[in-house]
Amino acid sequence: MRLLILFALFGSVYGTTDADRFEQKVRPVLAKRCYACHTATKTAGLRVDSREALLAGGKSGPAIVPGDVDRSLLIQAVRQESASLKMPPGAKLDPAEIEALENWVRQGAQWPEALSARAGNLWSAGPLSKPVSKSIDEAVHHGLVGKNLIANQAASKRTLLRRLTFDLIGLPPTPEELDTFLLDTSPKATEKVVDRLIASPHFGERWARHWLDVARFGEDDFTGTAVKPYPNAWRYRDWVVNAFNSDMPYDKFIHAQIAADQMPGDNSSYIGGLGMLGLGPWYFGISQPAQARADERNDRIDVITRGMLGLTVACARCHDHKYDPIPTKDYYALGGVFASVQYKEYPLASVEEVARYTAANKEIQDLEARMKKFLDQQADQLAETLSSRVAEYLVAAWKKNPAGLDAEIVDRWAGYLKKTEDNHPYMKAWRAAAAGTDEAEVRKQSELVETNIAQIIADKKKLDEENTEIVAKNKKPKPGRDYVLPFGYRSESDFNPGAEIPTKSLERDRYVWYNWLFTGDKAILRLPGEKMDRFLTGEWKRHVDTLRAQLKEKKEKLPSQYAFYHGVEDIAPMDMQVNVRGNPDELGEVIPRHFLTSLSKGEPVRLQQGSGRLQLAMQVASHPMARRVMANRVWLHLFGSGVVRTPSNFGVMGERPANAELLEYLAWQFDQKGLSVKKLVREIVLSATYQSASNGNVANDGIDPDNRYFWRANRRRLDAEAIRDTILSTAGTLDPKVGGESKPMNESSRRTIYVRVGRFQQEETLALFDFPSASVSNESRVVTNVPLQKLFFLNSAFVLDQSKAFAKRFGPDVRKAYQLAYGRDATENEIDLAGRFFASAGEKAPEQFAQVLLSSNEFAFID
Amino acid sequence: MTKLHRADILPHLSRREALTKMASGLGMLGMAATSDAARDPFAPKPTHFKPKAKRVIYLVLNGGLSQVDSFDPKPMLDRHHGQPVPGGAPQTESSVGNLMRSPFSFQKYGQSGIEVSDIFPKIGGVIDDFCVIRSMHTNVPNHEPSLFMINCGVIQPGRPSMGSWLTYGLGTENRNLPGFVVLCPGTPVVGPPLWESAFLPAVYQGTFLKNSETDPKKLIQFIGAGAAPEAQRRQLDLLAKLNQEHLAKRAGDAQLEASLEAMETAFRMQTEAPEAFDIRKEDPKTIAKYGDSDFGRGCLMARRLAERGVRMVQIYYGNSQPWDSHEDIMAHKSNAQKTDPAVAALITDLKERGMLDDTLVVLGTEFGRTPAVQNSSTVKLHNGRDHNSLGFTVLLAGGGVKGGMTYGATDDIGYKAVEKPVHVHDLNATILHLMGLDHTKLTYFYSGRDFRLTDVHGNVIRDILA
Repeated sequence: MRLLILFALFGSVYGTTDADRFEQKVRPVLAKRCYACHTATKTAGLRVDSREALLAGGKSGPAIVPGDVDRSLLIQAVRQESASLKMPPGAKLDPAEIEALENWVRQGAQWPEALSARAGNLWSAGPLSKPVSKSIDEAVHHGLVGKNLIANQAASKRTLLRRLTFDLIGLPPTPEELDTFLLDTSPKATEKVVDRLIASPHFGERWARHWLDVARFGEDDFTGTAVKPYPNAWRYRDWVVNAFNSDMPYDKFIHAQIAADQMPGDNSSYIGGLGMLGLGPWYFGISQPAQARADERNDRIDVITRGMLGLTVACARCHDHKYDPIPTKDYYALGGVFASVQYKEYPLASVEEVARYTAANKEIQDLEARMKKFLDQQADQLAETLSSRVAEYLVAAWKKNPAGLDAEIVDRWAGYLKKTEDNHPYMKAWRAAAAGTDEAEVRKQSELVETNIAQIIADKKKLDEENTEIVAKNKKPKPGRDYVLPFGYRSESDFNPGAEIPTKSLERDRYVWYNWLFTGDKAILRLPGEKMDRFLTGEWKRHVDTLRAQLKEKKEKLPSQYAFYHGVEDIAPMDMQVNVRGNPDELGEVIPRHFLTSLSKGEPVRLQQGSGRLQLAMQVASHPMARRVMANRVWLHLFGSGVVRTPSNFGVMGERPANAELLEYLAWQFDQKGLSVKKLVREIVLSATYQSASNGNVANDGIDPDNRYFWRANRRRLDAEAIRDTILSTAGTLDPKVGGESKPMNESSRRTIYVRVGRFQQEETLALFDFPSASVSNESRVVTNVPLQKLFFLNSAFVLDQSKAFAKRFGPDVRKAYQLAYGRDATENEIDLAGRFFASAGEKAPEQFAQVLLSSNEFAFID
Repeated sequence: MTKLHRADILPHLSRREALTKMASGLGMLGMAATSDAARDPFAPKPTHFKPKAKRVIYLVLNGGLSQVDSFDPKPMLDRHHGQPVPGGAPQTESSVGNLMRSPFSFQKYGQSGIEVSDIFPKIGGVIDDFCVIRSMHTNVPNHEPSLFMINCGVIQPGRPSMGSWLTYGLGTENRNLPGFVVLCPGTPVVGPPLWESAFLPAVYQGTFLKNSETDPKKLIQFIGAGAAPEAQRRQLDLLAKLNQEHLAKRAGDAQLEASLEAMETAFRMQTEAPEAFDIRKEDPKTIAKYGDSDFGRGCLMARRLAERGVRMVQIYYGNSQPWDSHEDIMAHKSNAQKTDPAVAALITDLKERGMLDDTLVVLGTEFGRTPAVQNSSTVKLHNGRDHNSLGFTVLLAGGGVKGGMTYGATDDIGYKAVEKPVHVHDLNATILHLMGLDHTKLTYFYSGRDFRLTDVHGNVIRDILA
């Protein structure tokens, strides 16, 4: 509320232009040049990130005197007129930067703190407006004319079909498809192809993967060195594939991924979308619970705001956003939503089936626990029994005469006695005696060892009892909220339980000796698990046998676990306190849950129904920014470059579109046509702009070398998935089945979207071809070109195998090889080259030739 | 499928600056200067200023090296052994009890007379080459976030690692080898995300090798399984012709040209890389000096790679976290037996080859340990120490660092850095500085802002620069 009052007060005295000027000229200078030392660090006691702080000043006094430039220390410092006051150290601001600060101080040094949370400052947040242009080509044309650019002519039909097929389904066209298209001279030929491709189930595979980059889809998390795989993660991936195939309206697509469980009516077809939140990343026990939960919330805020709104809200975690109108309070207003949410699994089975499985599984666990307990007790008892015969065993070991003793225990003693160092003092005297020949002395020392062990056992028992009591007495529920995480992990109670309770222990040396004797499966006197069997007889033995038989039977009967979606659910809603400077242990004022101020007309909508997730989803999905951002992503995937080339940042520091009319046209069309991705894709690929040739020309290159105005198509290297899929497809080994469980890459010949995506361990080959990290939302792929990628083509088992398969497919027919690999006829020269290669290369010539084609630029780049 | 933006691979001109320049009509960056970089992301790049070090060997004693048992002696601990921590123990992860003296004694070594624990006598022998920073501190007393902090400058996953920043910022001197190599016999805690490139191009991520394997052909992915060399040469000759013809119709396309060159480089790598990783080629006496341990072999391999221009080699002491001595600080002794000869041999070896001057060796850890005993119910023996993020020790040698000095100090009992505290950000800023990079200028514009290794923090520790 305070924010809003300030808002109103400030609004009257502070015009939009001043606020803009501050955001564009003043704040960036302070942020870039001064914040490093003069925010939280407070060098010389000074902060420069608010008006109050500047007025309060530092060790030398107030930093600014509003209206009086010459008396303001800040200005004196940046002007560097006196030797004693020069800022920033070792550098000087540009004259324009100094001037901006001077003007600002002269005009009263207004700091539009609260005002900054206004949409007016965001170029991308205004309502959609009906575009002037009637088509994509017209919008593009307006951009070209203004820059004296001339659009390229159309690409050849062959090139177009290749481009379309890769862009829409991520695979190359077959030679038959190519023939059909080339022979079809009707004006609708291209439309027919586009409609075929858009209707293909492979369309969803291609387009889902684009989204999965944004959704930082991963199929595991980790703690320590333990990988925690999510067994049903692929169901979210399939849900996304289906969403694109069924052309789910984009607003529903967003609603489902944030709040499917709260969508009204039958929401069963949406629940799978909750995987975006349910699949983490979850940080389990990797840091203190408060910190780990804060980091998780930050991830959720980041993936939603950058991924769906093109706003870097996570930047406001520690301080107000330095460039965009996003105050820290807005960050924690959203934080409260995710503080009111925990992990939940949504079964895809009947209640009965779930109950049956859960009960059967529990029985098994109980049985296992019972058996372990019984065997542990027996082992403990046996160990104690054996400890009373230590002297006997030691003497026997010395005499190398183990007659009448247990052979395994004798062996264990012998093994221990071979050690050169005990790591404790209790065998020293025995070893000295054993080096001699005096049996009486050895016997005496052996007795002493035994007595000492008996004492250690007694003391250890006593301590254990005391400790059990101490722990029982001091066990308190942890103060924080106990969120449920995957695998039944409870955020507070499972984080290092008992670590805060001080207990007692044996002295170090005695403990070490105790360990040698009793702890673990290799301890001298303790026989674990099945090794105990030979000491068990009668009822004891029968008991163990029965337990084992029961366990075996129950395990055999246990069905595999029912399917479920990884998702989230609401818990008692709470508002968050600001984490001062992002520190979860330093709490500030309580912020009611609400939507982003700068994207709201008037007072931001309160997010109060439960956690507020559904309200948040609806605010996000209905905002014009969501349309602009998604329309731009669709364009990006069809051109290799967005109209805005910072696709997850439409904020102040994001790139402005070179052709704003084009972006507006796309967003408007997307909005008007039911938020249908397929319709938008269709309209784009049927434009002359999309269908133009990719070659450059000197005149245009001089004006727009980066093709920001889209006077040509972009030549692009296939991405990691398309490279592998195309190799498989060309070799004729691709298994085209759609959907289903993920597999490691080398165990599958299915499309690459079905390769398991690790957060702990990235699939190295895919990473080699720029597959992104699954830990953070990825805005777009970079394309690199390095020798290691070529080693993959030269030597990987995958390429070698596929080359053999490909060679079998074309036999000795080089023309067929060219058709399959490049979708064109071989030239005479190429046939000649191939002939000479076959003549010189011997019996492996076909597969080696196949490998060359698969490794070529023509294979990996599309025009 | 986006092209790598020119500015993406030009660290010294942030993308934002580049965009601004283009937008304000100052014209494109010189094409000649940038096309090389666009072709090859590993091309050597100019530094911000003259570098002292050309490469880094970063040894990580993972798990948390106890400062008071290694390089930060505290006589007060001997005197007050068994007494409560004055003013109460600071909050760490677990319950800690009274002060616990070190079971190891300290001696003065070298001309500098720096005191070193007797579990590191050989490092003592080369202590005059080391700068011992005794006032390190970091954010939280948990392994994962602290490992992320030393590597990536934040406590969560998702940011580029130091090695990625270095190869991105400097390129590599030997394009036949990876620029950033990570060695561990298995997997340290956290594992691969510690050497990720995150949002930097994936080519900058660390190449991970298990140094428990000594056969280089098994060590390196995609080496030498394809056709025999002469057959492969024949393949490449054909390929070059096909690619040339393809290129002729698409003249001037830098990415296609780059692809041609990369293939030739790859062919050459196949002979150079196995040789570089093959420590069996060393003199047996040299191998013996490093010690018969994975860590020793790792250090030796690091020296071979450094000689061949690899920008950064990072070695994790062992799988999981071997230095995490909660129960029994005596475990430090057995770890030290393997660490001590390896580190000392690395330093003398580099020195003998004249390489220590421009090779920075870091002997680091993610945090320190409490000078008080851990007495929580989660440990059965109370002879160890808990995590301590408030004070710990890191050693630097070579590469423009003053040897034979200590820097900063912890309090009387070794709990907290009090004199000239050095945050991990400061250490990282200093490492970049020694490599000729201004940590505030080595930036990458991603999703709306410039990112850097040190986030918004970090001050170069000027006093330790030679």
